[in-house]
Amino acid sequence: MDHLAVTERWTAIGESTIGLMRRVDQLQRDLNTTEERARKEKAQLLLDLLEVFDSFERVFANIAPRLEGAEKQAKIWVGNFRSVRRLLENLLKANGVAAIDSPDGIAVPGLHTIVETREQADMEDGTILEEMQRGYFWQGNVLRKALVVAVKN
Amino acid sequence: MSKCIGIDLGTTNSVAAIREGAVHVLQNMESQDLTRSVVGEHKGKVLVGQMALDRQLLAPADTIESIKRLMGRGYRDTAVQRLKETAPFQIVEPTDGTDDDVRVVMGGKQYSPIEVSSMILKKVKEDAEKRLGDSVEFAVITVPAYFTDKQKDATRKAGRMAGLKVQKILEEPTAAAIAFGVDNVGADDSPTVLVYDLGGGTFDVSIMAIVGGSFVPLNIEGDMWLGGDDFDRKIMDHVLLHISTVHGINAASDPRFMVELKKKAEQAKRALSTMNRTDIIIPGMLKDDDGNLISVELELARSDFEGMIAKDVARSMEIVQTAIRNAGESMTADQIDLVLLVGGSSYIPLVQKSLADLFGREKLRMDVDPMKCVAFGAAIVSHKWNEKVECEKGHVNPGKNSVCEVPGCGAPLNSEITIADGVTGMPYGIRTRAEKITCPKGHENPGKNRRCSVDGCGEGLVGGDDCFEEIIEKGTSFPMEKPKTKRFWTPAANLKRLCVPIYAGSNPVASRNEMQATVWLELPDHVAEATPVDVAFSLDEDGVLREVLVALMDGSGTKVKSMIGRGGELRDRLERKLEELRKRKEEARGTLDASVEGQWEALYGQAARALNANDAATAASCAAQMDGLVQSKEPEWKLKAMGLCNWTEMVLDYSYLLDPPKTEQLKKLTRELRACIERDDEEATARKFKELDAATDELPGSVQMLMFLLQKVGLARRKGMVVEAEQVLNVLHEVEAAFRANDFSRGKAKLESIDALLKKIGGPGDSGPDSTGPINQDFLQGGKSGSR
Repeated sequence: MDHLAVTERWTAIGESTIGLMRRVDQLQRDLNTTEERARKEKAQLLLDLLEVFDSFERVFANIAPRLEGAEKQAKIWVGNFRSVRRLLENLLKANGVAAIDSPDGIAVPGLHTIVETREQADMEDGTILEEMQRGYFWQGNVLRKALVVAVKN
Repeated sequence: MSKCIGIDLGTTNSVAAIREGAVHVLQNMESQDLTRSVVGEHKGKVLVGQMALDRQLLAPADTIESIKRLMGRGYRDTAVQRLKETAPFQIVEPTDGTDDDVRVVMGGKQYSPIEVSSMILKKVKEDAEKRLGDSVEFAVITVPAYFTDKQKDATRKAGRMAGLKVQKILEEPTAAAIAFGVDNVGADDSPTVLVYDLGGGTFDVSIMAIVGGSFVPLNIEGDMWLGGDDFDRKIMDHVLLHISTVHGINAASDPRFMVELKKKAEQAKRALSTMNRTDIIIPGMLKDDDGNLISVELELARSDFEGMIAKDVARSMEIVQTAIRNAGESMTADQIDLVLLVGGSSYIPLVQKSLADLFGREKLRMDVDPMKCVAFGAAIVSHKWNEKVECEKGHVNPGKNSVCEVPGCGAPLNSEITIADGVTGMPYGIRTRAEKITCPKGHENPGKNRRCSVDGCGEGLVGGDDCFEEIIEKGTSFPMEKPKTKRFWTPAANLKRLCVPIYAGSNPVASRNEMQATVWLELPDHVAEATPVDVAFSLDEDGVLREVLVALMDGSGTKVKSMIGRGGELRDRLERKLEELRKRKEEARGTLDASVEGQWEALYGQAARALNANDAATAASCAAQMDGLVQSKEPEWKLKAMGLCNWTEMVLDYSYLLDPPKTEQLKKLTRELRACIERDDEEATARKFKELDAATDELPGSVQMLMFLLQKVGLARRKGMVVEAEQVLNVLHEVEAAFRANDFSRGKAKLESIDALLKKIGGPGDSGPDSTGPINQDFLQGGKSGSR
């Protein structure tokens, strides 16, 4: 093979390699996009499930004080629904959803959204008085912030 | 290698995007595509975006929203006053007393809209850097098409303050059109495009033609208070009414429920874009009187939703029709080739149907995410302006090339995107005196009269010397090939100088428009009445009024060219001070001796020339001296007190370096001292003088440094040390920039570096100003615009 032919061959190989590298780069981008989309879709599904879970929590919180004097059949039904709630809770945990704790009791931007304020002279502003909706982590990020009532004097 | 990105800086949300092959959004560190344009303060730390919103209820007065509505506006602006009525945070006049600017209060401190916007841009930039793992240096930032040059400039400054090199301020409709790729047309095609942008809080319509890859703007219209947030509110009201009717409960008083309802209303709005019906279900959040949980469950049909919003959509279509009518002679909807839908609310089927009915469905384009297309367009332009373009053989070229520069290659590269950046949203013009003015009883008077001169009439006349004459009309495209010139006339004979105040706006009364700058033209002796004067305006590539030329057309070559600098808060205040001093001087006419009048005249000329050249420091120095001269017949104690007041007001120009309590204290004491002077109360003046003197002794070193430099500039000029004055002035600007960036050690180092220069200038010199004739300046005589 003469020198010119060798040069042409190497040039062709080089061009082909550049084309392949671009293709790899594009495929990597596409994969990243697909992974990101899948992650978002799963996060949305978990948020929707959390909404169902919250509804259960509210209902049970309302029922609990009245359960003592309820009929036996009613207590059984409540127990059945509690099992369903438990299934849902375990499903969320198995998918890595963990509740946000607030050990020092102060609302933290990024973890808590303050939806209501109340005066409490003996407490500092921002102290959490009530958690109206629990917050959760997922895969190391905040999946949903907690909705809280905080002190504002 | 640092990156360049596009940023859609929105009223409600901001979005960053980058072109890396394809264009994609850069999520913030909360993993969201959109960053809320909200800023708050918590324990001295600035919070931006959702974090600021999280704490809004705790500190509503310290959470700033919709700052874009205040950009580049003055306190008295209608839009500012409207927002002031509803905003939970404070909107105030700057503490130095000017009304051509505005401040918001957050955490006890005052911030300008530029500073708040820069905080948003800084977060967007930093989050983008974290996502990219690389520094972000350059950005294209978008603005609405109706933004004035002052507003665009404010946005540019905000970008710079955030640490970005702003490649371009790009108008949102142009950015959207680029994202849709409508510029990729054949050489013989020139489509006319309408951009329908219905966002969360604002609505804009833009019409442009695309000719050979260039965007040629034709018209813009809009309503800055119409948006999709109103549609969410209507759904919420519908649900609240349902709950009230069915359960007898006022659910609006439950904040937790309202948060959830807002979310559900938005979800329902989106769902109805693809479905005919949707459910709104909020279980177990409300309680009846017996404490039982109530579940809110109702179905919302698309037809019901459309009934709620029909009026708003119809309003938007009226604006579209107006935009078409005003876009050019005989333009009709049929001549629109493409309609681009931008903004989340353009997903709404009723909106699309209304547009389809008018233009035909085949012309509607919705294939680019309407919430992100503006950012995409900005990213494309940003990439282009700093692009490395590869030809088909893989050779790398600078972005501006049209063919590959590698020898032997010459492959064609991407076509250039040329942007004729838009049309001016407002006309630019000057304040003139009308030739004639009609009194309420119909008598014609010369324009300069204040009262009707007809016997027995005497009615008051207003506006005769406050007429607005347009030079650049609304809808003028930029950049301009050549300046736009209009002819005026001198209003009287033997004037010493002409004052040309420049405004932007549509009000026929000049002073009710937005003041831009004032240019002075000093006249030679014996210029006759009605001598022609040409005034020429030039807009730059961002549509900013940059250059003004005022030329006396009598063959003498008398002219002045002024570059309108928008770093000019100080300049704006000085222009007003000069006007105030001129009026005070006119009132004192006859009480001053000739040499004092001469000194005053020379200082005024010097100040006017300094402002024409954007030398605010020299103008400030002259103004201070002029102030002292007019009072020269006053007793010593008054002069001393006035001097302290004037000096303190100059200190207040640097109020951003002072604590708000200190600023308030100085302002209050100055006011009180002036009141004592006016009452001629020597004793009270002496007491108040001591208080203010003590208060100004406690100024921060940074302010003292700047005042010292300002005085040195003035001193150098008075001594004729022009070069030295310029050198000190440059250092003054650098020191001020360092202080604004909180880098006080850099400012101090700068000052120390010119120690030898300051010693050379030395103490007060013995040179005095030139002596010239008395002042007799006036506004230009306007065109033959008839009576007002």
